[in-house]
Parts: sequence; C-alpha cells; structure tokens
Amino acid sequence: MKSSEFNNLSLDDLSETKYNNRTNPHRIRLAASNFAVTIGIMALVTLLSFLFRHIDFHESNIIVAYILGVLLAAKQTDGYFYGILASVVGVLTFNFFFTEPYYTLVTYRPDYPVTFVIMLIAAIITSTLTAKAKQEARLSLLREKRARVLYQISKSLLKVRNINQIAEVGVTNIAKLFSRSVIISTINSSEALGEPYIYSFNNDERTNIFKSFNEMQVISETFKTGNPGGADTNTYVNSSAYYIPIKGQSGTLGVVGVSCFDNKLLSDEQKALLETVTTQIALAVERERLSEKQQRSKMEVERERLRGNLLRAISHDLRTPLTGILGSTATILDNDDVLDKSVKIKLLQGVYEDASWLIHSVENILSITRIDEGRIEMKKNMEAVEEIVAEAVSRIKKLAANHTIKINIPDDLIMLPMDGTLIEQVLVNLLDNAIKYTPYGSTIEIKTQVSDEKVVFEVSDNGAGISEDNIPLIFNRFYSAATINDTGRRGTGLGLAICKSIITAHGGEISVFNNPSGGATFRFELPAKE
Amino acid sequence: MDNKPLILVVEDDKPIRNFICVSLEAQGYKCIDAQNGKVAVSLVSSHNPNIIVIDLGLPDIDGLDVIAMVRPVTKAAIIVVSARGHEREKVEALDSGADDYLTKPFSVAELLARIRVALRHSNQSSQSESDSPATFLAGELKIDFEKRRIFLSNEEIHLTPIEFKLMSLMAKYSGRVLTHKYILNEVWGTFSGNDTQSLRVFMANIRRKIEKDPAQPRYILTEVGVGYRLADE
Repeated sequence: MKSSEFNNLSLDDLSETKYNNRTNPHRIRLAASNFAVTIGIMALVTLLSFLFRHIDFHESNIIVAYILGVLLAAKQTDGYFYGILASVVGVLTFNFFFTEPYYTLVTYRPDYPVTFVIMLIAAIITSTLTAKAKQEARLSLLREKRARVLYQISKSLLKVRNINQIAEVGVTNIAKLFSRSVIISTINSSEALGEPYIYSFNNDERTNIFKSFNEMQVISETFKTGNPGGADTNTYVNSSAYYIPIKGQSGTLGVVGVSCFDNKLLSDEQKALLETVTTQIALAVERERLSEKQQRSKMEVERERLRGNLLRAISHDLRTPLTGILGSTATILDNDDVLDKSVKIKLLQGVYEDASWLIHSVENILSITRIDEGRIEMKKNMEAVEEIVAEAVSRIKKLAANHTIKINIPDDLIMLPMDGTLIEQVLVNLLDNAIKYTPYGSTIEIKTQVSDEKVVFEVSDNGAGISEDNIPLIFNRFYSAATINDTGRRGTGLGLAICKSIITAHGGEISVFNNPSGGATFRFELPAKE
Repeated sequence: MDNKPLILVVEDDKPIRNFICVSLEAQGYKCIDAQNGKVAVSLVSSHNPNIIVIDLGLPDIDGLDVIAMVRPVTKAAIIVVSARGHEREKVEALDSGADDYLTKPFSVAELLARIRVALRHSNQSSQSESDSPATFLAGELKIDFEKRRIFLSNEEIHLTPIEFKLMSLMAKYSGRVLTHKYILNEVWGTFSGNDTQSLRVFMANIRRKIEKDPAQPRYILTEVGVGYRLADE
C-alpha cells in the first residue's frame, strides 16, 4: 500500500462500531433509507409480477421474483431486520395481489398456506444468508485494512535509527490514524521521560495544552504507574487527552497521549487499536535500546583496547628515556668530584635528548587521546599555506641539524580553510618522521601545489624508502618501523596516526609512496573550499 | 642600589621555577618567585617587578585572572607561559594585557630572548614619546619612520601606505608577538572586526617585498593561531 493511500485511511473507515454506534439522528436517517429501499424493491417486484400475470406466466415465476426481491433488499440494506421485513412483505403482497381471491388476504386453494410458509422460510434464509455474507465481507475488509495500517506503521518503525525518530514516526502515524493530535514521550538513556514529540492534527492550536502542567502530570503519572490515565479513565478525569503507557518487556518505555477535545472520547475499539500500535512502538524502542547498548559496549571495548595499547606504549617508550635521565643525573650527583667535565657534559646531553624526546612523545599521546575523546576542536580559518609551512619548518629546524630541508611552494599566495595549528602539527610530524627514519645528510623537501579544487602537500626524502610490507600499516596506531636512523630510537607509533586523524577531520586524504628515485613521499590533500 | 631588573616568576612546579631563576640570575637579573596566584598578586604590589613570567595553569587562581588583577597596578611586562595547543588561551591572555608568550616546552635561550625584548620595550616606554627612535634596524632591514621609507640591504622597498603602517606598527613592538585582533584594531580601526584573511593577504604581500624566501621568513614570523612577530635580532 502506498503511503498516500495510507494517509487517507482514518480510523473511521476501520471501526466496527461505525454501523452500530451511531448517534440518534444518524440512526433514524439510516433506518428510513433502509426502509425506503426495502419497500421500493418490493414495489418494483410487485409491478413486475403484475406484468407476469398479464402475459400469463406461471405463478411460480412470481414466487421466484419475490424471493429475488428479498435477496436484493437484504443485499441493499444493513442488518438482518430489513431482509426479514422484505420476506414478510413479499409473502403478504403475494397473497394479497396474486392469489385468488385477489385483493384479500384470504385464499381458496388449500395448498396456498404451505406455499406461503415455504416461501417465507426460503425468503428468510436467503435474506439472512445475504446479510451475513455482507457483514462478514465488511468485517474482513476492515481487518485487512487495519492489518495494512499496522503493517505500514511497523514498516516505518523498522526504518528508524534512533529512539527520537521512533517517537517522531509513531506520533505522526497515530495522529493520522485517529485524526487527532497526539503526544509521545519516550524514555531517554537515563531512564526518565525525554522531551515529548507532539503532532498537532490540522495544526490544532489546542495542542498546546499538552505542554500544560496538568497534562505533564498525567503523563508522568501514567509513566510511573503503567496504567492508562487522563480522559475516560479513573485518574485525572479532567485531562483533555487519553494516555496509555508504552509497555515493553523491561517495563514502561514511554507514554502516548491522544487528544480528546470537545469530549470526543475514544471508543473501546480505538483504544484496542491504540494499544496494538503502542506495542509496536514498544518493540521498536526496545530494539533501539538494545542496539544502542550494544554500540556503547562495543565502543567501550574499543576504547579499552586503545587505552591498553596506549598504556603499553607509555610504559615501554617512556620508561626507557626516563631511565636514561635518572641514570645520568644520579651519576653526576653521586660522582661530581670524580667525573671529567667532558663526561658530565656528555651525560647531560643525553638527558637533554631524552627529555626532548619525552616531550615530543607526550605531546603526541595527548593529541591522540584528545582525538579519541572527540575533543579535538577544529577552528577552521582561512590560513596562508606559506605561513603554516614556514612555522612548521622553523619548529623542526632545531632537530634537523644533520638534515637539509628544502621548501618548494608556489609564488602565489594560497589561502586555504584549515585549523592552522593542527595542520602545522601534521607537517611537524611528517618532517620529524622523515628526520627520524633517514640517515644524516639526507635531504627533505616540502612541496605544495594547487590542483583543481585541492591543495596538495608533499613531504619527501631521499632516504631508504619504506618497505612495501609496511606501507599499508604505516598510518595505524602504535605501528612503528623496526628500522631506525643514527639517533637509534624508536617512535611511539602515534605521529602518523595523528596526521591521518587530522587530515580526515579536514575532509582530506593522506597517502604514502616510495619515490622512483629513492626515498619516500608522504602526500596529503586538503579541499580548497569548505 | 643596584639597577638589576627584577623578574617575578609565577609557576607552581618547583624544578621549573628553580631552573628559570637559576638561569635568569646567571644572566645578571634579580629573581623572585611565587608558586600560586595569590602570592604573585601580593609580590607584584610589594616588589613592583619589571617583568612577570607567569604560567597560566596555577593551582589557586586562573593565570588569566591574575593578569586581570595585576595589569591595572603595574607597568611590568607580562610574559605568559602555556602549553602548545592552547592558542586560544594565549590570544585571550595577550588581548587582556599580557605582552608576550612562551610555549611549553621552551628553551632557556627563548626565555632570555623574550625577557630582553620585554626589557627593551619597558625602557623605551619609560622614555618620552619624542625620544622614540627615528629608525628601526634588524639585519638588512632598515625602517626610517620620519621619512616613511624602508630599505633592504640599502635598497629602497616600495610599500603601500597600509603596508607601511603595518610594518611600522610591528617595528615599534619588534620581537613581541602581536595578535591578529590587535593589529587589525591598530591599523584599520575598531570596526575592522575579525577579518584576519585580509591581514594575511597584506602580510603575504609585504613578505614578497622584503623576504628573500617567503616560506622561510627572516623578518616577519608567523605565530600560527596567535598573530605575527617582527624579528628584532
């Protein structure tokens, strides 16, 4: 069923009570029309029968015609009564007009009473059967329609991805189904009722009453007790809506309220239907809560794993330089008189190097935890590429005493939306990486160029390059190459992972490849427009 | 009475306080220290230091609040120390009265350079306006304020009026970092808002005129996320 069709269905079409439960003037009008139809059909049959007698047809044709009339009358009217009425009227008119003596209810032939009785029985059975078939057809049509509506609702509930959307879909569907304004409030992660969703049918202004203190009280009461509340119940009778809880396996999951303005209460049937719909909503809410829970525990496991890795990295990679610092300083403190000045300076230099390395590692570890916790604040600005590159190079120069750094950027000013400090960190990490993994005397080149809608940055070196096995792994966290340069220290395996996180957050891409002429190139692209 | 400049070091970590004081005293400065904001505020009013070096992360009062408290009562240059990545904090400190900043971890050389700059500026400002130098010299760069001319290796460079205004502003505070906001306000007036983009374009143009390699600037240094600094040595 298409949704437009669905939208046109309202509960009025679906209610069994439509025909039983009318208001009085309605019922009288309906009875009058049924009565007129019955009499009309019987009159027509009588006319037809006069025609039959005129052209000398056999009497049995008239009887059959009357039975046909009863059948038609039963079909055209509602309920059993008019069919039976037609049967009686049929027998009587047959008796009156077509049995001798004509125009009396007296008969001469002794077998006529038998004919009348059989005719009456046949007529009554025909009429009741017809009426019953009709009723059943209507009922099954109704049930089918209702099943379709429920199916439609459960289908739309299947598509939603979070509890808020469930409330939104539920509120719209129920409002359309009942042609009334509806409110839904579902529980949030802290097991309390969340912000309600309100659908105001035909933009009814009275919907605002849902926000009143009184209604809120009924909602929370309904949520607490798990029993229906509001209009037409035992609690809060003055409320302008009927509230029922959304009940799931684990208790009440929320509350649905259907407006009953102008004292238009819901019929028992509508309530039953509403309950069915809320059961569906309950199922959907439970499903979402389960999957959210699963998602959370999955993330928890992932975070735990990362934390474990981080701790391992810290304990291994930080302990080594710390031991060095401790040892060197203790040596100097204990043996101040014995040691040569040159030996002391050498030890102190070791301390200096260890400490610089520690600071660098700690900064990387801090960055990665910031990224993990989603706390990385991007403050994008139009930045000049040359300024960022220059700053990165000036920061790294102190460490690059044994390397040559070449800068190759276009003469034209390139302005680019980015978080300057983060991109600077990417460049520093890439340069630092190049310095760390190439022998002394190597040349490192930074190149930027504009291509189409992107700006490409490249940091390349003329070292030994990266082994092909390592290339796919190189941006992974805690991945650190086994080969090291002359300073003889391994990295924490975080620098490149941070680069990747930052570039991805900017909507760019980062990659690495070996140069045909030797060495490796790290390349990243940033979009030139937001 | 000796004329050694007095420097107040506000830092809660004892080893850092120690090494700063030791290296400052080795350079001939006098040094007093405070380990929290309250002590710092009272030392400022009792000792009237020439320079305050303050860490923004203090145990009792936020460093920014300390600056707000002491700025009205002292002419001392305030040098802020903060970690990398806290650029916004630095800008806030600079805009609310600090004169310069140092990024942790910093080297002793950097600290001494900042202190030299701060002392020079406090000496300058104690002299009267008319005494302010007529020229600025740094490396090959020479600015003649009176004749409004700029020379690089004795060759005149042609700057537009706004470019000259920018250069002379930075030369006046050479060695000190100037935030984007401060420069915009001084050069374009208070209504310029936050148009840092056009400021960057102007800086790029000036660099192309006075720097040999704009990607490795010798004079106009960028402090990413904070502002600009004109090299003074």
